[in-house]
Amino acid sequence: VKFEIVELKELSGKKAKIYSIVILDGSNSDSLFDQFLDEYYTDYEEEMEDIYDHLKTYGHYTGLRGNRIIEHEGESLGDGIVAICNRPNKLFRLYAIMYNDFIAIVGGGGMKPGGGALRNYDKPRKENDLIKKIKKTLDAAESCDDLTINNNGIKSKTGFIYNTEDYE
Amino acid sequence: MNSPRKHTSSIRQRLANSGDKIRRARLPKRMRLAFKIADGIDALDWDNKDLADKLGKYSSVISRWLKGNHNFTVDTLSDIEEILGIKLLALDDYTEDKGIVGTFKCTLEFKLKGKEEEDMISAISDAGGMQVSSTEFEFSK
Repeated sequence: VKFEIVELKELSGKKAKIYSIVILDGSNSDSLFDQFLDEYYTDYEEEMEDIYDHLKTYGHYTGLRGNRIIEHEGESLGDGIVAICNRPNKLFRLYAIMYNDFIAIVGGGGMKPGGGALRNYDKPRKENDLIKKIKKTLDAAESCDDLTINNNGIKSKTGFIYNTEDYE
Repeated sequence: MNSPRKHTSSIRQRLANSGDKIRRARLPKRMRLAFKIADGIDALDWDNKDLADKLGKYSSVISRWLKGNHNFTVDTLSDIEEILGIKLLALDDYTEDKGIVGTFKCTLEFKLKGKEEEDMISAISDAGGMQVSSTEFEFSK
């Protein structure tokens, strides 16, 4: 999967940098986060507003914290994969890679009503798999010094386009 | 070292402008209050139960407050301020009967010089004259 990291302009702020992923293989040039919003906006406007507003508040006012951020949604503890859920109905899971409370790379998500296992929900499971794959690629890029992720944000000497196959 | 390009989208723009703006403006304020209280609890090395005990509440109430969507009353915020020793109500810029602490005078002076002086005085006179007055301003700190 060939992808680009982009910064979500109006959500990023002095308290947290908010990024997303544009998949370059397909015809859709929207970020994964935008595709998620677009898919559910018509039927779940309030839920999408809630998630959008929280990301904006994290970026500009509070940093990434609070009980809407569910940790340990990846393969191993501490791998930084989190789910951001809406309230009060907790209907949606939006998957993201979090670095401390300052950087989030937001992927896609889906509906996961109730507390059942992720494997029972096709859409969020696929989005979770994709963000885990992207995280592995970014880890590898970091270890090769192609990418730097710290409290100054995400920096690169070579650009922000990666292919998950390049680091396998 | 480069940074990722800034990305905008029509769906996010639509979301930014949709819904009840007043309700949506409350969210960051409620969240900041909740996190400030949570930080105040941490700073004292307390947990939610300690604050609950001091306020005569159940700790589940404190947990609900800290979710970031609670509509606090001024009395509750005031009580929390006193117990945690933090500021939640920004009232420091409100001054209570400080009285007059000083005055200043500003003088503006106009000088008309040169050949056109008479013409200008004449024009001012024709326009009804120019009144120069002094005013004293009183202000509080």
